[in-house]
Amino acid sequence: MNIKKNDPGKVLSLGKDARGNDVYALSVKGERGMVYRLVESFLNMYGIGENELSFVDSGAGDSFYLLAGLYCCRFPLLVPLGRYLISTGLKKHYGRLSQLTVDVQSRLVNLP
Amino acid sequence: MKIIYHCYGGAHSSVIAAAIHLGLLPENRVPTREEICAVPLYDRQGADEHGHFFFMGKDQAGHEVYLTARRSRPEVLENIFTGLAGIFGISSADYYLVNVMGKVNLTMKLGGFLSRRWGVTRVGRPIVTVGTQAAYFQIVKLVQRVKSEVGGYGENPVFQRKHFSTCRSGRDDSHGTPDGRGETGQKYLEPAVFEYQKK
Repeated sequence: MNIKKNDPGKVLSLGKDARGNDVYALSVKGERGMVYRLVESFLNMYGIGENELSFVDSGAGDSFYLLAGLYCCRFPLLVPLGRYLISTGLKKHYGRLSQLTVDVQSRLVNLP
Repeated sequence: MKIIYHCYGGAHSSVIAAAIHLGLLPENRVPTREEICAVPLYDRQGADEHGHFFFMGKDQAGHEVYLTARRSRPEVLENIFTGLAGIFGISSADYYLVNVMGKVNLTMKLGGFLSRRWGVTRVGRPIVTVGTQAAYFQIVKLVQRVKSEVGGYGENPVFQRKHFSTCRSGRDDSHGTPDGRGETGQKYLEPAVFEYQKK
């Protein structure tokens, strides 16, 4: 997936999961707390129930490999190295990410 | 419709724009320092509140006026808002995001930085207030443009406030129907609702 530089905060639709829930991705560099407040405030403003939207922080930005890979991808000559670092980072954190999705799915099942 | 004024810290320019929009500050003259400082939320919001939508009140056309802070990332606010609105089927005609940052001058930036970032309110607030007074009519122009684009304020939003102020019970409505309802169907009996709270 290619997120352009001028698209921070753009909500990308990724499809539906097995239970029919819509899945979206949102990427913002830094400003984590502000994004949480924006989303929470938006839901309050329009009176949308908290159960309508589950906002999950993947924490991908915390990985050194991913951050280094993203940085390398800025320079054309270092793109191959950047991609290698990103794939290494994803492999390293794959277990954590899959566990995260399992947790989210189980949480959704338990919703009233 | 929800009209959302946004700026870097949600403490000065967006607060002033929202106050002008609601008729809390005059459009025909520069307010005094005391009048500006008396506006709720002026020079108040902290960094830990950035991103919250603060409800300022309802204007005479029934539009809800909010303000928020989005630091130096207006595109993040716009993209997230548009994206969430799309997910929940909210029409783009139901909200209007207004970036007030273009009207902020250097004095406001300096005073705001001193007051909000460094916490030197005693020094920063007078400076930012002077800057606000200097940029005041530009903000007024922006608000008038927003009102004319949004509509629902009668023929001329500039003169509407003056027209309404002559009414004994808050607002006159000579353009409305005999039962006291205006063009938007709202009864003009109460002053603008004013509550600043986290929404």
